[in-house]
Amino acid sequence: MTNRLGSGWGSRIDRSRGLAFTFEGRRVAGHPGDTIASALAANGEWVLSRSFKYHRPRGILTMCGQDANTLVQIGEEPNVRADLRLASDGIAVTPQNVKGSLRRDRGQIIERFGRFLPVGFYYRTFFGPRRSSWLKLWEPMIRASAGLGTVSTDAAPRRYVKETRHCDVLVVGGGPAGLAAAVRAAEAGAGVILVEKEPELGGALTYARFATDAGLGTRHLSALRDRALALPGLSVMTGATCNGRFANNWLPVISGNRLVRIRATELVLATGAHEQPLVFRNNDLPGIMLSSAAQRLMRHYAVRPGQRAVVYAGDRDGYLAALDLDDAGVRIAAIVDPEAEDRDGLSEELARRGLPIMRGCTLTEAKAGPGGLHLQSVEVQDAAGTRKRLDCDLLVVAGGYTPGYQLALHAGARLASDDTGTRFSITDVPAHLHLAGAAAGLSDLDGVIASGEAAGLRAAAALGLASAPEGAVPAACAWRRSAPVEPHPKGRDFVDFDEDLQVKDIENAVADGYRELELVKRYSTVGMGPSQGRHAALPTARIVARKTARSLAEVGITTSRPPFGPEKLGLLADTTPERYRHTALHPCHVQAGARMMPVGAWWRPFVYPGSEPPAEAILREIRAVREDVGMLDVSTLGKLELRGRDAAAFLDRIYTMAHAGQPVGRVRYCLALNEMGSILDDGVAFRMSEQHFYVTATTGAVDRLFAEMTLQKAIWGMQVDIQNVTAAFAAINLTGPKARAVLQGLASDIDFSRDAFGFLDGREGMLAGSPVRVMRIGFTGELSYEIHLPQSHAVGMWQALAAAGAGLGLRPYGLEASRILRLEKGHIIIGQDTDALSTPDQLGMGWALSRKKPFYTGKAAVEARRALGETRQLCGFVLEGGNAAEVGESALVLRDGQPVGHVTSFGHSPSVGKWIGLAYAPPEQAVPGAQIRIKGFSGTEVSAAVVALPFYDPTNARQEI
Amino acid sequence: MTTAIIATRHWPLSQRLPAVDRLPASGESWLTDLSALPRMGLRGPGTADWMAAQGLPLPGPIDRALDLPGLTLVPLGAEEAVILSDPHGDPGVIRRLRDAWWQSPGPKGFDAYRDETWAWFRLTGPAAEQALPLLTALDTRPAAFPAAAVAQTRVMHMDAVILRSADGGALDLLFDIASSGYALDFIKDVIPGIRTARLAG
Amino acid sequence: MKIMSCPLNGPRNISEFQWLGPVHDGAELTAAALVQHLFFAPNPMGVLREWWRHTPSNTVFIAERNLITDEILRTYLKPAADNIASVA
Repeated sequence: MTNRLGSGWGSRIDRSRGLAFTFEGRRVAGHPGDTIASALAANGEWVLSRSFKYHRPRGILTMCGQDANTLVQIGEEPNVRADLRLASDGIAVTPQNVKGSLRRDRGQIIERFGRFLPVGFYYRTFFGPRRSSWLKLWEPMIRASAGLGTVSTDAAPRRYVKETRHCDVLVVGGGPAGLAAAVRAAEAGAGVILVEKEPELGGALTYARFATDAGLGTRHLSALRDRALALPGLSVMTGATCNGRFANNWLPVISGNRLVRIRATELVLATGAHEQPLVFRNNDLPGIMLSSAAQRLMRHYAVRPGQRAVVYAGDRDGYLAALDLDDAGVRIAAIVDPEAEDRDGLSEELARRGLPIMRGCTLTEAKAGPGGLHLQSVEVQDAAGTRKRLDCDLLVVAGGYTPGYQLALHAGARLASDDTGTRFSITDVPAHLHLAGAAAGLSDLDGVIASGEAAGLRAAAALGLASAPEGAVPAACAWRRSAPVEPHPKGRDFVDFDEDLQVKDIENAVADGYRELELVKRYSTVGMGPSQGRHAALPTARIVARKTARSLAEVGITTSRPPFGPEKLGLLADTTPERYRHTALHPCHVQAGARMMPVGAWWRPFVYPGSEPPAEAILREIRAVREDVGMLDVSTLGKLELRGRDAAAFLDRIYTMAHAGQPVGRVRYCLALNEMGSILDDGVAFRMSEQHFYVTATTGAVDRLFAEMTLQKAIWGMQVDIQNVTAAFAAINLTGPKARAVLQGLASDIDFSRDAFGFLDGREGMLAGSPVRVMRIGFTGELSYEIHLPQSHAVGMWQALAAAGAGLGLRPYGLEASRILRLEKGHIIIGQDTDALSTPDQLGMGWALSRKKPFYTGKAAVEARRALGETRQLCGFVLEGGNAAEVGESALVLRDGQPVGHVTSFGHSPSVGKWIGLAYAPPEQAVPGAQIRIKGFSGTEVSAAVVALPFYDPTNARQEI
Repeated sequence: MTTAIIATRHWPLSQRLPAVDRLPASGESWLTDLSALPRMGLRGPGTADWMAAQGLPLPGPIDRALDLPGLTLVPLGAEEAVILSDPHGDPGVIRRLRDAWWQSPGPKGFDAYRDETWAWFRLTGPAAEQALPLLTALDTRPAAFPAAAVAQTRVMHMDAVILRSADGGALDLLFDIASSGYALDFIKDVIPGIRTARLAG
Repeated sequence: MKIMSCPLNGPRNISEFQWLGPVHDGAELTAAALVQHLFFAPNPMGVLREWWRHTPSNTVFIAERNLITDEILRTYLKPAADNIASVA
């Protein structure tokens, strides 16, 4: 059984070939070019889905993806619009939101309880009968029935592509107005991109009828298309939806799996107008569709939309659609026109064809046939109130238009009402934006094309390529008044199909006290479904206007925001590789079998396990450092070059210690505070010459610190060059009692003997054929040399050190061993032992605050906070007995059961044989000899003894040998 | 850095890319890692004067590079520039410039370590040009980004310098050297089928 | 995505820039002024001067932005005459 029309119809299908797919397991035959919905319609399948709340049967309404009735699931892909997606061979299509089958959906029983589900019912229900009822009874029930479609959690990853393009003029919409605008602008010399969401250019020219002469649209289309394709400066994108408008004309265009971000100097919106349905009882039945939907079915897909039709002509297009239906052999039972007089000049043609017209009449109700699945008749009421029933299986509604306002409103334009006061128009259009065609309120074809040309010229003029046209394009005829929206006593007169909201629901929202449209929306959820108010906005605004005695323009619509249509999350996410950074020594770590771990974007060695379990390897690494020598890749450390006349003075202002007088060749600890007196970062500064400092910072804070320094340099106006050289220099920490011996085994012009190179000295020179900067500092508590060198020399140096240290027990060590080694010395790690409120005083680092300097960043705040007193102090602790597995970073420190601090670092120290850590505690408890109570992870309290720092080598003798 | 360097230098993509002697012929789509080639960057007070004294006109406009025998001069600021060697030119040009700089008395700017801070990628061929919109949001239309143009912008989500060669046939990218592996992965992902190699120093 | 114009590099996507806070006058802060400075951000119904940084070129500059319309009126490098730090 097929509803196909003969030749002369079906511009998009290829009848010479066939295809077949399944819908709910039933075989459906079609042709290449069919959409899923058109093939189903050709096979007489008009029910496509069940509505969200009442599970009412739904079918084709717009036939262009502007409604949510056509959402189906294809295999693993949910929420596919069946009227847009091309049918292809062998796919398995299933309906959504259905219990059982589409025709016998068990969910439809809920409609019987409709009166218990008024607007906003969920705010007042699901509270009982017991306290646990929500979690145990209602929530699982609602969760099972909520949502549309099913998501597969093991679907194969798909590829999405993101690109950026620039153009002089972007024209959104490839209908007559958009084509005219694009051609005009390109002819004037602009670089133009024309975006059209349908698979072909032409818009209404491809399906609509504009006069009794049915070929008028096609002739205009050919002419415009030929001109467009001949222009090299005009780039056309079809099958591409412009999904929003962002600042400075930045617009996302979606086409399949591709997101194109377009930056346009001038923007022309030829977004057309959305045809509107009518509000009456049972206006949602399958078989009721917009006039443009019926014409698309016929012209694009050669599908007869029904056998016997009633046409509601709320607009001239209704009459033109009736002519098309008549040409296609559909019996016309009546054309219902709410106007009493002929406004459209088509009476002669209609009389010639013998098509009956009922003037001054409205639709009051539609009725379904047995089973409730399809339209069977409509009830028409005349001016006197007499009602008549008309049998039909198709109701074609020409309900008038709302301009395609979304992108314009994203840009800051506003909705006003047109001259009739019953329809929207767009106003307050911002600069660099031009409306054209039906979006600008025009409805006659010549006016639409002329307004497109004018918009294209205005865009070219704004670019200096042409002179601007004068005046606005007059409308030859205006859109008709919109029909009033009155409630039917028996209801089911839907204002919002997606959310199953009826007229009385909107009236009740206002009666419940929500007079403002933004509140009506949030209370009732009107406009929040997939159609995003495309059809609900106008009737809702008219109802609220009527109920609150305001005009349509005063009520307006809710704020319109991107996206215009649905977009897959994959388009927004980035499927390109994730950023990572490797040090120059990365190949050495990989070759040594290191287990690597991420630190921000960097990857660092955690441990070098070899053939041992990692815990054993970590102990081995710690022991190597304490007894022999180890080397750690610290290349991720922040490194800054400060050079120039004011370098020393600048350092003096940024850091807390005294650097202006720091001797050349010396290394000094540096501590940076923010203006609030909290610790920002720390490191060391090596004065390499009078005007040259080489400063280290932490891996995580260097970028922020560098930005701060650059800002302060501009504010203070000092002459110092600051360069972030973190990646340019690699760094190796060579540490352990035998470290000196390793270095003395390599060719060098640096004297590493103890007297020549003391603790906190820095030296520059050559080592094993590479230029190096070496600093003696303490982090592990052993003799340490931090060797900095150009990153291209790092691998060679690592290998040279390994060779020189082979007989001395040298081994590489990783982050975990390093963490324990420094913990044993009580050294803090910025960001681990410090937070946004940590002051130097809290860390016992008052010694780092110069008392003599008149200024350093944060000095005023430090003094002010000192006056307030501290509530916590960082201290070292040792666990006495108890279960060490209970304690770790973030464990709370308690006093009288109340949290007064927390553990920041914790671990087992092989060097002192105890479980040690650092924690914030109240100052009076943070003294050696005191006890603190720690709340273990399972809830039990554990006792710990506060001890003096460092835990290991209290005199710090080992690092100064 | 002093000039008498005897140690072997290593570059991040040494193990991932095959070494070639010459840049690939024009017309094919290639990514060539030029990180091992000599380059020299200066910044800070005295840079412009010192360069002018060497016959390298700076300050010029900061969005145009200048080709001179054996090198390309890329201005980055009023007192900042990087000099890239010509991959097929005399490698001694940069070396001699560097020696001259070391021996000059100040002010002469500061060494910006550009042979170490940055990786240097060259993209050639039709697929590379077509892929520009996938790599950067910069306006790379021919009129906005012509031959010899320079832009400091974001490429592959990183701060980078991008330049188009004087003959318009190549695109050079300078960016964080530690991200070399990531950049190679990124380009191979958005330009499937691009050939990749490195030019040994 | 807004366009910001770097004084040296020209107009670029705002994702190339980092906001560094409002421009304060150079007066040294007393304790009372410190609290105001730290915890009360200027939020005028009009134009605010702000520090911005173009990250690829590390250019720090001032932008005048209208906080009501979010329009960026002009961007410029700080004039040398406004230096506040004296050099020893």
